[in-house]
Amino acid sequence: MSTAEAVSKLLYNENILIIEPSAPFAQTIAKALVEMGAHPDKIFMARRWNEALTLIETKHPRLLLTEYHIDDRLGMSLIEHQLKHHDEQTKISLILTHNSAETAVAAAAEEHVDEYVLKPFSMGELKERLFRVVVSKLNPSKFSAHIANGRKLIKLGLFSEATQEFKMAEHENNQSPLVFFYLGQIKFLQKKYSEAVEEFKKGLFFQPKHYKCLMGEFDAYFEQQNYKAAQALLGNIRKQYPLSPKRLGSAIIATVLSKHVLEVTGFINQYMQLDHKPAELTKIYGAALMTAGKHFIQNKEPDEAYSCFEMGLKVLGTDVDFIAMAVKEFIKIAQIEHADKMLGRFPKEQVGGKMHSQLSFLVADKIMNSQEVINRGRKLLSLNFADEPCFAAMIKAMVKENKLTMAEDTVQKATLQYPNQKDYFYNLLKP
Amino acid sequence: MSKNQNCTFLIDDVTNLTTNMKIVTPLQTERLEALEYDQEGISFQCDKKSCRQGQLIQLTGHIELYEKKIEFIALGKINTVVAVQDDQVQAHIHFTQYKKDIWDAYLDLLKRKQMGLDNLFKAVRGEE
Repeated sequence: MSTAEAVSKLLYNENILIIEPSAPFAQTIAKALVEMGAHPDKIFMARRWNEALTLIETKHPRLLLTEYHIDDRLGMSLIEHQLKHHDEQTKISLILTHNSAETAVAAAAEEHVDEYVLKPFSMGELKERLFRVVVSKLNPSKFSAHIANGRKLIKLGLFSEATQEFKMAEHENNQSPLVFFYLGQIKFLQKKYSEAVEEFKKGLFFQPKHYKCLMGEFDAYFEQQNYKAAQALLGNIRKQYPLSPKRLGSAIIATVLSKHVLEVTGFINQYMQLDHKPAELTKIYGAALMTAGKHFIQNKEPDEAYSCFEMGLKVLGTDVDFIAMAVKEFIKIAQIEHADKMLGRFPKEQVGGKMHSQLSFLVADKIMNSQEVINRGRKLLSLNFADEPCFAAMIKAMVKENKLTMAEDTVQKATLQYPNQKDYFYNLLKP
Repeated sequence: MSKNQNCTFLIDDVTNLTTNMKIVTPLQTERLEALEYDQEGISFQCDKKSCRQGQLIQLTGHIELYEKKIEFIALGKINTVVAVQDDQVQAHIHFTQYKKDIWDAYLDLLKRKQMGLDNLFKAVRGEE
């Protein structure tokens, strides 16, 4: 049987799933598949992610062709479900998309995607690419077969058997960094991080820019908590490759923990350009920017701190807890103008609410005279909005104005609310 | 790392010069979209009543090449019409009069863009 016949036969026999929100594109892809030999009755189409999942579970498609984004999710996340029914050596998964962002391509390449095709395409090119992928699955080279077997064994936790497979792959190609990457990955999974680094470095000897070996080395340093080495390597990686959202999170953490906190602002453009921003990454980046801002506060550089906090709000959106933390940081170093400006970032509907009133009182405490602070504090008390720092500020102002009875009364209220802080509040009464 | 090159082709209007009617999608509000391209033409999906094989077509669109927007007008003939759904067909326009240099530049950029992504994809996968 010729290769073309074998491809045609495979396409004819297998179920195929096209996940595509645009019906015209879905039909164009189906047309290409039918022309290559696919059975029209075995081609299934889904426009929604959930619909696609149901079809994967019921039809077990061996071929999956998906847009990058389906609803608000990643089309390639469906490949994990496809892998429940077909192993990696046999399943075929393609992304066909308008999305040409390099971060998207890098993310796809790190997952189980076999080919990334940009839209619009020429019919000839689409068929050629499909043909190539199918052939690579039908007739893998000895080297690829050993690599695939080894990966399967790694998944099963059979590390010594996997090592044997990779050694056999090395026999086929003794200068392949991929072999050393997988040997390193085995060491990594066994938590032998230094040995893992050695393997990754062997791979990098043959190909200094080998992405998987570079990232393997980075991950090993990260797990060893050697953030300095991870951060140093990161500079090299970022020069050559875009970081996928998953990698960006680790890069930000390594940057903060290697005490290069000021460099976290350098990730903002890459973060903002991501078309898919995982919630976990957003959380990490927001926290990193807060840390960077606090670092500037410690060094009494309020303008730089402000721009970090501003960036944090760009990342997190209007996050009132983040705003409150930033306001408190500025109050700490008596940068009231900045605190007030940050307070102005509160969403309108929450102005006058409990948290806004507390922060606004703490800002006022720094600029108003004691009598005015007492007046505002009493309003806060009547609304039952006072928290610990507000109580403390009020008590101090009352003591300063020699209104001791009022101060004692406030201490009692504060103690009722915060019984563990009884001594602290009573100590404030001492002149 | 190569810069992301912007390169898109948007169809603004397609008129069937034989019938003097606009070619539209069944929903009419949807924009016609180039599904496939080749050296001398494009395919799109439209309402089946919009066109027939052999009819003359005028296509107006624009190509965004890098930061520039370039108007692209082409005259052509519908050379194939394939039914895809009850009310829809996929039609292919073969351009007969068009600015070849602009179209070629667009195709060339598309090709280079795909090649750039292929290289990145291959590098990240680390395959031989």
